[in-house]
Amino acid sequence: MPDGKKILLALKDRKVSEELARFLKEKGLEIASVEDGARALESVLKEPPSFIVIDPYLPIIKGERLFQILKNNPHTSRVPFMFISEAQKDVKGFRIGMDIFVTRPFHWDEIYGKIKHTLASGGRMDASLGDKDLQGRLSHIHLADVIQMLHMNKKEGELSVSSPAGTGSVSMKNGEIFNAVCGRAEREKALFRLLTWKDGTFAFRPAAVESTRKITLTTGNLLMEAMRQMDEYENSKHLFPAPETVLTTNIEVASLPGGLKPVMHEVFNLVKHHPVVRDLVDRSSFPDYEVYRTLASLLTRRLVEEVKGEKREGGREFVPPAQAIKIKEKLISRWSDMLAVNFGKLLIASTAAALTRRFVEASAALPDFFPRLMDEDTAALGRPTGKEARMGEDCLGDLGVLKLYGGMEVVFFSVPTVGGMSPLIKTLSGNVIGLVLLWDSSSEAGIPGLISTRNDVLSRRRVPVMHIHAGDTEPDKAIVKKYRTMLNLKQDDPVFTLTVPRKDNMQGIFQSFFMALLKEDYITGKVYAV
Amino acid sequence: METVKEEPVFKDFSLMDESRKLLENHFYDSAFINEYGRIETARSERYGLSYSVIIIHIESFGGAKTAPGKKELLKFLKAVVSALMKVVRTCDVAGMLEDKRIIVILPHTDYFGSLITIKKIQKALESVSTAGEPRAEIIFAQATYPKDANGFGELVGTAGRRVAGRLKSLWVQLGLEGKLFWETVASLTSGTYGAEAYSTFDTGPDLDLKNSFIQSVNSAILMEIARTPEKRGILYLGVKKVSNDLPFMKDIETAGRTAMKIFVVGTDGSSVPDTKNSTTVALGDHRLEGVYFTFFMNEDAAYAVICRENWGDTHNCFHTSDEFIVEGLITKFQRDYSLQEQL
Repeated sequence: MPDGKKILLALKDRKVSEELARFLKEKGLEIASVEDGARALESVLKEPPSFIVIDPYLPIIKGERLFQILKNNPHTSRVPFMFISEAQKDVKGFRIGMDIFVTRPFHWDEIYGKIKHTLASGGRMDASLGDKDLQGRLSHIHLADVIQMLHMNKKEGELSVSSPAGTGSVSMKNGEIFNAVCGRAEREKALFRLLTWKDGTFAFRPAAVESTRKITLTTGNLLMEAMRQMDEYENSKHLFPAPETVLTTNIEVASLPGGLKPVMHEVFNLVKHHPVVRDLVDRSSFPDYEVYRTLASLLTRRLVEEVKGEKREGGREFVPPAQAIKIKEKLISRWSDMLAVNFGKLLIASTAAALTRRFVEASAALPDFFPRLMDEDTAALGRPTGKEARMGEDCLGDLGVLKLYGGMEVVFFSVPTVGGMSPLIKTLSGNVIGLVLLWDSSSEAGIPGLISTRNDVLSRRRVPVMHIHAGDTEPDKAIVKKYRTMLNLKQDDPVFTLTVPRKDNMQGIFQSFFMALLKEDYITGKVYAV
Repeated sequence: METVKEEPVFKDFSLMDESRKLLENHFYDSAFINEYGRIETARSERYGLSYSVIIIHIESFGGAKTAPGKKELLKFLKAVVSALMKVVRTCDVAGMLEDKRIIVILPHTDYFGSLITIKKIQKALESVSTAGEPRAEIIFAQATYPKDANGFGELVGTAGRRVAGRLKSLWVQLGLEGKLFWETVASLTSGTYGAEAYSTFDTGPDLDLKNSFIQSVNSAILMEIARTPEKRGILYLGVKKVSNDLPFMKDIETAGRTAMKIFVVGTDGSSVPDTKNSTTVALGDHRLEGVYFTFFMNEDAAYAVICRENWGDTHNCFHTSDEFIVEGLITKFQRDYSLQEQL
């Protein structure tokens, strides 16, 4: 069997899938298993396999539909499919000589034989290097060795890395590392994270690197430092707080002694806004080991302490998996662009920038919400914050992302409510799944702007609307009534409030939104149809 | 002699009837076109392909001094069809859809492919006139299967609606087709509009929208591109002087690899090299000093914003999501500066 072939099993029967995976693994194949079409699509797009074994009747995206999508994608068009079904079925676009149809019952050896034969006969345009110089699997060669090799040969280009943990890249010029990116992290932090990956693939693409150098250490020193930090982390991890631990600060920032390292200042500030260790480590610009070591030091000095009895799962889903899958399923059925289903936009229209800021701050209570607004402490540290730094008075742009189970992201996107913005809203309303209207007791003059934005959005696509009073004082009943009248709300249309102390639970607000999204005939209408 | 305002040519007889007299090979009648359209839909569905249709709508001869007669019209139609058949591929199928309307079915062609074909046809028809008179007002529209519709009839209907939309478009109303790029910019930024697809607004230190608003618009568009990097399209960012300090340069740099063609246009950009995502276009034209513009077009959306600098650090801006206007602005810009005509 050719080496390094990855087979994707997309079968709805978990037991059969597990048994088949075990059998094929024993035969030396690398196996990835998924149980629904959406996961299969995600997995394939992230890392195209050499062969796909699929059930035509998969949930969410049917196997046959997935076949049509992948067959038309230039990156996956040469991947052979094996359909396993109870009865023979006419599959549109079935490629005789390349794809296989197997009816139940079957023998494991029969499946293995067919896969082996197809792969041996070059069923897939496999390992075509194209414009890539070098590619392979991390299970065969460690990323540090790959970088070392590129360094020795003074290569210039981009090294892309993909693993179940995510994707990342390393830019190199003249054999030196210029920058690394891994999810939201960059520089040394990203590189050190990438170096911990043991499973996945890499590909080096030679190209001119024009970006400025962000990593100044030489490649040799950098790799040595990475290895040191990895070793140190392994040896001392029992001293570090667990990722789900919740922390709190004991003193004010101003009381911190002078002469502390920048990492100490940054971590201390981050505890205030992101008390869960996992979130904090993710948001810090310093390498993970340094952040953990700093946290341990702050805990020892009692500048920071653990909130007893409170543990928050950083990775837990706020929307239950079944609901998240239903949302995705609904969007798939409404949108023609299958790949666009990875994100949906929640438009935020507000009568004042301060209300938008308050809404984003309140949203930080949602697990897996990643705000993009620049907070004052981050600004005080003088660290570059990229796009989020420019989200200012104009109230246009990304505010944050809420990540749902199954890889879908809800992007919070602020839109201006001044007149004449219809063309812009139309252009940026692709994938819109909802609208939030923010107002407070003093914003009567801004309500017509909200109404106009709402009508603009709803005239193109029917989506749920959340009405939220985001002021700092309790809304007067008369004011709420007036708002209801001005917006022509129905009796059962809820108006939420962010005001302390009658602060509606943010999770409750969003649960209500997702319930409405699933219940009603929402997401109808084509945004761009003339 | 007075200019003919109406459409006299279409009163007495139909182009549809006249088309039957054409001897052009492979130019078909509507019955064949409808049948072929159904077959093409079935084929595209079977093999998971896309195909497009282009409607060439001959609106009127409003610019002509005299109404062309039956003979001139037939000659005109022959010239149109002859020019058309020279630019379409052998696999494309052209024919008369209905009176005033020619249709071209483009197998295995996506949205951008059809736009390129429209450009080719437009160019080919530029020289076609009626007995030396100005050419007819011709409107083009396209629709792509399966993006715009699920069947041939629906697809033709979508393209038809786009023709109707274009006839009502500000582009036609202001007669911008015959103007140069900077004349068009002047026309658009000097008026006040408030329609759904196009409107005007002002930015300035004491206004609702600050001057930084345009930066936010550019950033939002670049975020949109980064979010769907596989979507093809074109983006022009016009500034006074191209420099690495421009706020959106970082967004372009961090956008990752995209299928979008991004051009940063300025009076001078010699010190700024092209990046993996963008190409610098230095035009050395002083008119760029008083105007910022952004032209964005992909298969889902089109947007253009033009801001003219005014007194007191304020800007008068025009923006639109009308694909006809955006496409027209891009085409004029490329033509007037002899840039490569692409979409």
